[in-house]
Amino acid sequence: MSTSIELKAPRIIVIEDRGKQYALTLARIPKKLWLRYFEGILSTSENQNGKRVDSFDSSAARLDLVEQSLTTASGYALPDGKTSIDQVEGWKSMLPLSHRLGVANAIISVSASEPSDDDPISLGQESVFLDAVWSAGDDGIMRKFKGLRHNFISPTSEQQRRVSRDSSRSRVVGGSRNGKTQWLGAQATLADLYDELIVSVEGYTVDGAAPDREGIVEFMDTYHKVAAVDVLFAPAAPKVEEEA
Amino acid sequence: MIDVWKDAEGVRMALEEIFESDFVRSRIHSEGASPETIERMERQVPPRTLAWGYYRFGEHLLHLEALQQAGIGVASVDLAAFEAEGLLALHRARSAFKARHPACTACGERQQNRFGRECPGCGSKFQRKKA
Repeated sequence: MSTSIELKAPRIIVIEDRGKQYALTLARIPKKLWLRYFEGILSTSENQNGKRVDSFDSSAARLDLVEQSLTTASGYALPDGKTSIDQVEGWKSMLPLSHRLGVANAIISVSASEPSDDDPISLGQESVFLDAVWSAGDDGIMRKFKGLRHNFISPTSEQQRRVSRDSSRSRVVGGSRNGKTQWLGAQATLADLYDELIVSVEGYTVDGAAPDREGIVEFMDTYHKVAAVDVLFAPAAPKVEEEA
Repeated sequence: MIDVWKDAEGVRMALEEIFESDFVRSRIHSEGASPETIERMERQVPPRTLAWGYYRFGEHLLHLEALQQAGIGVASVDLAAFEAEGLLALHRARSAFKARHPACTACGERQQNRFGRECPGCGSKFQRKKA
């Protein structure tokens, strides 16, 4: 079993449904497709009697992302006369909705994790750790990769300002007083900042070897870039102890 | 559909609301206030009346202003035009707030309004200008 994520390999997501396994293969998802996904997320806030009420819907964007990225699938019964799923016109939209959403949930299953080393933080360099589901192994089992390390140079105040500016951008639908705020998101900026700040990574390979900086910029999954920089710019929680 | 970052007047109004609610909140937890008084004062915090995006962009402008005040200059060439317009809206909102709540000339505490006779902070007496 590999302990690293191979960034150039296709991703195979295995769904288990009613005792049967279905394998859905995705091509490498380019930055353009990820940005289209982020733009498709509907994140809104409403002002209800002075209180903020948030809502979030990414289901349409997730389905679109999966349909754009799927290259093949196996495990499904095919119509008579068809020997491969590629021969079935519109096969992607015929896959069960729950399977397509399951694939989407797997590829966006990325979260911040606790540092896996005991070393103190080096000045001028910051490390972010992620846990992520990537692809099924040769045994067909999906596993979570833990402690994927991204080492950055420290961001400048100018880069911090770009994050603040772009995450504060929104549109209002329905009037400035009673309208609904649609947040535009700063994911494109976060992805760009990743390319500016990244130094090295651990837990990823390109063609079986640890990637250099150029390789990271070119092949790192954009969702992982966004997740890592999001953690990088999030304020650390101070240690507070309750008074006795 | 309104692009919030381009609506300088909406941003100014949101900033004024932020200033007013912060002002009321800053007075709530003064020493010795009973829970009943705190609860009564909490009800005086003005509700937010605009779409939420205006307040978030206002917070970004306050962050920009804080950087400038701390001497961490943001070169004007690096500012987006809408940020520059937003900073002007922030300046207008702050000026209006200061006019509504003048500072005590002795201790600097902001007053509830322009018509008080005595500073609740230090007890200095205010003199009215004669017409």
